[in-house]
Amino acid sequence: MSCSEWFPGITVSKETFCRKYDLFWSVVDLKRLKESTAVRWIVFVGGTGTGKSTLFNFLCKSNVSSTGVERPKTGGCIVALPERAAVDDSFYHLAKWGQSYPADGTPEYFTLAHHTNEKFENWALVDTPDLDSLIESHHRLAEKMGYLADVVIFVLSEEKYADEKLVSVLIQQFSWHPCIVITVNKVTDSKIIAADVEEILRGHGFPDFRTKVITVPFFSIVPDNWCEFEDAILKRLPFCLQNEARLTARFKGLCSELLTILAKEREVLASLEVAITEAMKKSFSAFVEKHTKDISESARSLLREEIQRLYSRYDIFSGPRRFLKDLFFAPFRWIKKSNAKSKEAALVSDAKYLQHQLIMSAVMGSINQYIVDVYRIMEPYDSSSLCKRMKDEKLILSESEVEEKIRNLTERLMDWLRGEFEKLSKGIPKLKEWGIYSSMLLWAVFLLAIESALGGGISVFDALLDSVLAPVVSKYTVEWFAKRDIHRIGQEFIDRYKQGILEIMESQRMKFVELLKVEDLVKMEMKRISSVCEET
Amino acid sequence: MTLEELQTLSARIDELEDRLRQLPKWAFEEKEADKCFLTIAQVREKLDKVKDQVITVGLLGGTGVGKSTIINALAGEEISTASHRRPHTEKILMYHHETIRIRDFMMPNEAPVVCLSHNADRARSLILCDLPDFDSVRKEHRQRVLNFLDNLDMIVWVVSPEKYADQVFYDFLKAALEKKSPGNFYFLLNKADLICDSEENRTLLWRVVENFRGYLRDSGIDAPIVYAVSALEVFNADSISSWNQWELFEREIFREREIKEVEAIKEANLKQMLDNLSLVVTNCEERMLPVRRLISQLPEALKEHKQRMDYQVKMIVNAWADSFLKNADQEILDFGTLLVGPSRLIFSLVEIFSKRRQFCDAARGTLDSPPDISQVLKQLSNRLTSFVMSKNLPAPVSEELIRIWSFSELSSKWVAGVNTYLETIKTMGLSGLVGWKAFIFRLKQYLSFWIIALVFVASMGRIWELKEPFSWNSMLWAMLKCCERMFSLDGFGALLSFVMIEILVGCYFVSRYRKFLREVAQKFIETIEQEIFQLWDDFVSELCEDIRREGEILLAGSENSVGEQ
Repeated sequence: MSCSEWFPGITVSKETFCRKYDLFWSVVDLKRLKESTAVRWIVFVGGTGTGKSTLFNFLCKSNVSSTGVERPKTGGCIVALPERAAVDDSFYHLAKWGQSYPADGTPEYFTLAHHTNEKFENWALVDTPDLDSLIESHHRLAEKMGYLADVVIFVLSEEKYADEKLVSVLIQQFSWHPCIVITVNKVTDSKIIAADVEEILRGHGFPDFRTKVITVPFFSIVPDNWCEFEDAILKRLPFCLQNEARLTARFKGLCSELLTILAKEREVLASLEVAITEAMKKSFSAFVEKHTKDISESARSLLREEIQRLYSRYDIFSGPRRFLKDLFFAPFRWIKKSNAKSKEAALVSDAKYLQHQLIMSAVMGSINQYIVDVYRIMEPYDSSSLCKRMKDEKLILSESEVEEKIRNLTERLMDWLRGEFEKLSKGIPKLKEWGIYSSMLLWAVFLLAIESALGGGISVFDALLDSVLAPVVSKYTVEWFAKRDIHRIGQEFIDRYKQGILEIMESQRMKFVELLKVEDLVKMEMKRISSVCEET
Repeated sequence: MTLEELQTLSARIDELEDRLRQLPKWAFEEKEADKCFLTIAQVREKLDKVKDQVITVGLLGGTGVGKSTIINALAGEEISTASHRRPHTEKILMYHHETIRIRDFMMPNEAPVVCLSHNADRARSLILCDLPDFDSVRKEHRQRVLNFLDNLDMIVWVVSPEKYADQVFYDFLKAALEKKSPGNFYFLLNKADLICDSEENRTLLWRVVENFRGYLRDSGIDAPIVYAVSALEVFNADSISSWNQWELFEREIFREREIKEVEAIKEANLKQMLDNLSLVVTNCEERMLPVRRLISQLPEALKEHKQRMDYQVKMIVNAWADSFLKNADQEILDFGTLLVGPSRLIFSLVEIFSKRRQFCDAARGTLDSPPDISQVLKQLSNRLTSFVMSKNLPAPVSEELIRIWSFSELSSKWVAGVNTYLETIKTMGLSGLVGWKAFIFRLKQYLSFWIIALVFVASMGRIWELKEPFSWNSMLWAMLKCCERMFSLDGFGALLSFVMIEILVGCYFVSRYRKFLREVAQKFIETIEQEIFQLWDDFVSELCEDIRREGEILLAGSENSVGEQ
């Protein structure tokens, strides 16, 4: 998976990070190469046309690197090993690296050759492409090679020593190197030019002890036996070998840079996940707070029917009671609302549907509010691709989806409810049943006793009175016995209802959190990078 | 330029300016708007100057390529110093014929300028400029050059064999192409002597030239004119090598140009600027497209949701009306005068015993509290908000839109609207049974009650036992008999039954009355429901209107805010 695929790009742009990332892995490879070979490395970098390759050929004592008038000339890296050095696998690994690794995909070749300069018996010489031509991949490759070098020979020319681009690259990308030899080529007045160059570098904050500049005079025809440049380099070499620790330090710096960025990304992702979850919890509790009444109303309307059915099993007097009620209150019905009954029934069924609709719209409303909250959470990271993916319309639960989920929820709840009441009615232990019947009997006996005591016997009138009272007694008895169970079922019903709605909102949250899962990939990369960094 | 051409160009400037003015501020990137208007002003100014017969030629290039040497060679003497040390040239040097008043030809800017006059006739209508570099560590040089570009009509780009592939050169070339036509560019490959010091190396030189031309073509110069020269040779020596194309170059620069050609040069640059501006304006206009699309989509989205919301609103209003009905069917209706006698009595009794009295005050409250559709409004608000936020529009646009349907806005509008309506209802009375219907009802009651009373009296008085019907004597007799009867036990029973019958008849009338009340209340409630629902419809259409209006404002031009020079 390429860098731009897994990197979230929230705190830092993908381009910036992936360039650093690519540089890092190249440097890891170069480090390995360095550690596996016995030679030391001298690397030539500089501007196009400054004469890098010419100087390189000077030191190699042969025309290993082609020079010419066309620009830019050097397209890839040329590695000149000492004559007697063995060319082993690690070098071929590098050759492959040069061809396929650079992230920009431009084919660049590593050419392996030999140099015949005995004075550099333990040194490999490397020529690189330029730092300032219009081909950008050259700059990146040259920058990478700096990490391979034990000695960097930075080549300027009399025409180019004040070029902004070269000077800034020197300062930004090579000044960390412990051993740079700044060479100004094609110079006519070496003292003045050297002073000028040192002035410029000092002005840019280049530390003093390094601003010892070498000048190379201009030759229209390159002489064969000119040794001054070679000697100047040789003089520097012992000093250069003393500061290796800096290379390691620089590498560690790269490590920590990458790890910091990745850690920050992870942090942001984690905080986003927390924020999104919190927003959902807030949404849900706000919903519950506002709609507890609606929920319990809705629950009650669903429970009512079931409870009625439970009562009627034990209520042996429900029939006669209803009959008597109709009979006795007939005249009063003229006074009471005449159409009340039918209207009431219609109201009840409408009320149930209305409750359902209200719950539906309340849930939809909460979800919409939640979505708006999530968008606001993502606002600081508006420009990142992650944010754009989060705002995708497909992530939002549609109204029909929510409706279906609520319908499923209601069905599940009704099934459960019926089951519970079945259990309840079956499971009222025999003892309780006997209790209900016996208490009703007791009450009947008690009433009869009183009546006979008061009225001296039981007359028709008394019997009538009893038949009115008895149903009331039976209703209350059943209720008293089943009260606790009914209460329990009611509570649990409401809890399940709430839980169901929470699940619906959860499903919306999950859709957002899915996108944040890229954090795992980031974590993996961090592990990879830190394990490599620790090895050194 | 002919009058026609002038007019075409003017028209184009005007058209671009119009298009610019019609763009809202948010369609521009930062500071782009000001730059555009500045360009228009500059083009207008330059259009006036097209008639001037003077061409300003500038030498542009990196440090060390030899610009100063070139101008010395062109002038024939050392007017500008050259040096091996870098960077060297800091000031702009303008070399002009003594008859030209240089101040007339310069746009105001702060570059340090040195003016030198000459009397060479061959360069009578030229102003030659030596400029600082654009790639040294002294960054102020680059800015100076950029600022001075406005003054140039033709540019001579100078490179050296070392520098002709430097990226910074092509970056600068791209920047210059925004303002100057490539037809007015010349390219000099100076220091050609470094490549080619004798006849044999000529091929090398041509290879370099071809290499350079390739890069130029890649940068958008279709037919680059490259001269390979060595200014130093021209300046120092008497004879010029055959590969040195200096003479060709010099001839070209000092060529006598006809008026038309001079105008064409300047015109080409103006057109280049306008082309560039046109591109920017088109980009901005494209940026407006998604916003335009969204605004046209919004009413659609609204209508989609409306159906579902209609249903919910209907339900809520129904419930509100029903609760209203349950508790307060009498509160606004007061036709107690319709009942007479025993029915009136029964009605009052019932009222006392029922709890309606308490509800009266509570019911009065229902008219004060309008149906609560805040749920629906909230949902609408959030739905529209998430729709807009998911489209990634520029911030000012989405913020303005979201403000229109914020929950508080919608809620307050709705509540205000409904409350005004309900106020009018409260003051309105209700017509009940009027006129002859009321009269008939009361008549029926009176008749029933009196007939029963008569029957009672008659039966008490045993009228049928009277021998002589309808004489005053017999009536009196019947009356007296009636009174006597009344105070016996029979009479008591009769009285009781009389009262019972009256009560029953009274109950019947009360129920009839109640039914009537119910119908009236029902109709009233239905009317209210319908009107409230109509209010809702109007509310939604008004919202659509608001959105459309806001959209128009957003898409309108920013004539006041973006400044003019």
